[in-house]
Amino acid sequence: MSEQRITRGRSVSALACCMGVGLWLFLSLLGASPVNAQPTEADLEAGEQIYLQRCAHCHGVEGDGVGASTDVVYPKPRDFTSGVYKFRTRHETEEGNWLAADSDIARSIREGLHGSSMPGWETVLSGQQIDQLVHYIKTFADVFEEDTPGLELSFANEIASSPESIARGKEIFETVFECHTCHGTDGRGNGEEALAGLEDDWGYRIWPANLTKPWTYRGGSGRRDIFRNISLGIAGTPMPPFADPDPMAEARETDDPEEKQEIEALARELQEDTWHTVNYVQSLWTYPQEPEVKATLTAKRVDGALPMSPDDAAWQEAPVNYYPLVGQVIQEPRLFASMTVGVELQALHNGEEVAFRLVWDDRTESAPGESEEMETYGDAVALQFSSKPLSGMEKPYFLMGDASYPTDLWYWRNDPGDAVLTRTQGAGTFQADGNAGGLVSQGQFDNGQYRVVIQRALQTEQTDTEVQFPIGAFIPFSVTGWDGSNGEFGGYKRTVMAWYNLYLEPEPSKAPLYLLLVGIGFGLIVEFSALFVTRKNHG
Amino acid sequence: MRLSIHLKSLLTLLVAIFVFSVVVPFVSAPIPGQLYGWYVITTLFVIYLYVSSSEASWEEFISPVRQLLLARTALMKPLRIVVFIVVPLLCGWYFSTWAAGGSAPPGGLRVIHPTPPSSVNFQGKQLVLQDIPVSPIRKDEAHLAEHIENGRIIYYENCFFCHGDALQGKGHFAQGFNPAPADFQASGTIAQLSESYLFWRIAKGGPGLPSESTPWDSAMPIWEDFLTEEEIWQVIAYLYDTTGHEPRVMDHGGGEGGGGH
Repeated sequence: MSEQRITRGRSVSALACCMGVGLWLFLSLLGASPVNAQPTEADLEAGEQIYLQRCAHCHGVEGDGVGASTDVVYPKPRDFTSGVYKFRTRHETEEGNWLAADSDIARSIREGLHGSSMPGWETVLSGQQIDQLVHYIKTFADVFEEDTPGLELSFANEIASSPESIARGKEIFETVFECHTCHGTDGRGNGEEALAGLEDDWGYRIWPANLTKPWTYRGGSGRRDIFRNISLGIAGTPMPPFADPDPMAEARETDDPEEKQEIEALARELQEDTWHTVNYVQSLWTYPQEPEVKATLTAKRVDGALPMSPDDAAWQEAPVNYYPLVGQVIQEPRLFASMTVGVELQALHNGEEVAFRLVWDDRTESAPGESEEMETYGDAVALQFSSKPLSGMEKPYFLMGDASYPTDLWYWRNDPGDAVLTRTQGAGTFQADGNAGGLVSQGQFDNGQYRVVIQRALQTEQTDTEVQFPIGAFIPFSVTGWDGSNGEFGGYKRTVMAWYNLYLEPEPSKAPLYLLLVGIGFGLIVEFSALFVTRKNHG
Repeated sequence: MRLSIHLKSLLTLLVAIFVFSVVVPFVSAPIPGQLYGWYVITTLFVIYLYVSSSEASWEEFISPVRQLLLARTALMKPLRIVVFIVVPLLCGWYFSTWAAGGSAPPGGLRVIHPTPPSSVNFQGKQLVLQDIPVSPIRKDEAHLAEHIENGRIIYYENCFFCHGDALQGKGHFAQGFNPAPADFQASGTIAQLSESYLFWRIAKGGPGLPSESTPWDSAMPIWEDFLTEEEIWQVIAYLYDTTGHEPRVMDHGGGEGGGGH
């Protein structure tokens, strides 16, 4: 009896220990270590050392955002001397300052700014080092000494997502907050204001977030992150705050209970409207996070004519692969600040022809000479294949091949809008024109998105000098893109991706059916042999 | 309490599978599919050896099977019929799904650290790699800190897009390339190589690789088109300084850890 009690006592304390350790792990995962309010001299010195080693090349030794890589990244590194931080959970102060709390700055360092060149530092720096860094970078701006961060943002009155809430959110998006003027009606960051030219506080051209791609939301894509950005804006950028810094201020001054109630109801409504908007923004997502790159693009086999229109319902049959596109930073002249994030690719074939559908977001429908400030070009895309049949593992160099391994580019540009075949032997040989090459295409620009279909026969007469598509084989392909208003053109200034494989689905095989029968037979043989042997020995 | 031989066998198998699929990937890296299969088969074989080690344990192990096959009780008879139908169907299902998953791309084996050439022609100047056991800028010890600082700037003007701020190969353009950019912090990259090896890989880039290392896939630029000889040595010094790795020193016999993986 007593022994049992001791055991139980032990297991209770063991459980408590486990829970304690669990809670500690949970909190440390959350990064909830509080930043010390008062840094010591040693903290500041340590922070400076970390800053010089890890941060100064982008944010500058003086913290002014001018470092070795400032000219070659988009968006630009933040200027800390301003004391303006993008992501905060604090309202404007009475002095009119948008100060971030230490924990806000620590989070930006810990997690990085997604889709930018600012990485998350939590794999490299300890929580204490990040705190020291926070203290140090605050010393770049006097405002942190003169003022203290404002009231904390309230996340109250959250509304769960539902079709009704999303519909209400869309209404607010378009008529109350008017988010579409910058983010566009489909959320692709292509609103009128965006196209007219937005600048940050330092005069750099910047673009509103493409809300359909949550992995590029700089400040994170959690529900509270979106709520925070709508409520408090993104300081230093044209994204304004929509929340009232102290919604209850007027309510405190009045003695009239009815008026008080009215003010409270209004404050509540604003919070609820913000949550509706959050629900609408989330409904715009194409993917909840950046999709994994798949090594093989399967061209599904269908019967009859292939769809020519990019919006044909037949495309819903084909699997969609997403591929990130990145700046060509390998050969000079390089493209450092690319704007295109990635391309969605689908393929269908019918045993005679193959059709590709390419979909990518581009805020601007570009044309040559449209800007006075910089040289602009048309928007374009190309599928790349090896011109020659390949044997073994050798492939053309992924940047447009070379003299011994040329590549076929199926090049489509918004003007004139017909795909042509152009052959390259390296980026320097690229010509933005070619012959029809048996290609048929149809493409359109629609509210910040290009959708293009290119078709060709699987086989052509030039079997040794033009790409052929044998069914059931793996054919290397890649995609390259040009955003004309970002100064992208020619063989070098473009976005690129690695080689992946295209696989043309063969006719449905009967092998699985045969193997099903073989498997059943196998199972029966094993069972009856066991039965036979056992009966013989023991029966 | 004495565990039955079936429970023991089952527990052994479950523990082994837990180790193969959770512990090993956590400690090092996931086990490739085929190897995983072999590990499980080996485990099953060991369990078989154990249960058949004595007449008594084998008898204990096999008796339920025999029961199932022979017993004429009210429970066993219908159970026998069910098992005789379900097992062949499961075999059939397994065989046919096995055939359905048959479209895997050709997985070319790529040599990650190929044998370097004995000498490279750098911007018209012949450099014999064997004669450079350590980076020449290390001889200039008084200015080493300056060289490293310059290497840092070169890194941030040229390399960090792909290899990343943290030197872990996770720069903001890394996801566009395959193979992924090298992770300098890992123990299998620059920690295994000499400085002159790095010099060759940086100077000649992806296109300078031999064909067994798939030069057509590599996104590594030919840096001799952008950087001077001294700048390349500086950025190499920065990589070792920041990661804390020590470069391997090449002996004159040419014995260098650059063999293929």
